[in-house]
Amino acid sequence: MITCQEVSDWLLDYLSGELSENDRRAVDHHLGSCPACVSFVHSYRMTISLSRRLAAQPTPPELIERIQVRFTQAGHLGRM
Amino acid sequence: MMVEPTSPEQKVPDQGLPPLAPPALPDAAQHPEVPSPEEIVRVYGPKVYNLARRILGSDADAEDVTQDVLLKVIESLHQFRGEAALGTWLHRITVNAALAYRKKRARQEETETTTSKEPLETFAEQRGHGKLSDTLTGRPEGEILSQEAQQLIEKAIAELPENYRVVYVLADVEGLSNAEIAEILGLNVPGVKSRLHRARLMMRQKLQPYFEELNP
Repeated sequence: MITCQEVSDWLLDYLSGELSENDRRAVDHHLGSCPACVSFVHSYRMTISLSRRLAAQPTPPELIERIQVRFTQAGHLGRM
Repeated sequence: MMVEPTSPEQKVPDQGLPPLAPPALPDAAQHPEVPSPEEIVRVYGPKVYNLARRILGSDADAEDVTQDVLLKVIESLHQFRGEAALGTWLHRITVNAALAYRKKRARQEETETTTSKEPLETFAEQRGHGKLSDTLTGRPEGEILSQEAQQLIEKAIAELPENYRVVYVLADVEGLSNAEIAEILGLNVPGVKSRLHRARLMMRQKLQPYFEELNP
């Protein structure tokens, strides 16, 4: 049976499906009998999930305006 | 089996970022999918701004970097073959421009960076947080985060040490593959994975209070 540390070390590849079949089974087997690791994996997943749901900050309209003016003056942009 | 380097920083020195030269590409006239300068500003401006902002942790600095990056992109438009190449190149020059900007500012101000240097707690210590919620994922994947959660995550990202923050933002916010990140940062894939895993552990640690608040 693999250790809790090994579960942590292999977690990134486990979640991305890059572990070998044997190693994946070993992690699954460990998780089947270690509630602490189940909880750990769960919060690790949640961390990723939350970050992926971050909304984009709106670009300040003044910035777009400044860029348009600067680039139009430089001949990069037509009328926008 | 994943081979996790015990000391990734020794294996992968944080230097030698690729040069800013765009990819060698065929004549843009044969590729109508190449965006116009107006599209670059409208479509890619917000992407560049958000990436720079998360790397730099400053709205004002991100604005400066956005202007510089968009100018570089527009001046090189004739070299692009299409959206895919532009996307990769855009990420690379934004990351490089942001890191260069940060270095320049640090020299000018002769101050330390504000990134957190707190040591990564060990796995054993982290597992000691026995109250981790098991109902956190009750929220659907696509649900919009509350403003509070948004701010908390942005703050946690801003506090990551720079080497980890850049990899984390590219992977878990921007959604790039490990191979793409390796190419952009001039690292190897195991080095990217190692940094990403450590960054996730640090993020998890920083978000712990939020997790517990959701599931007291």
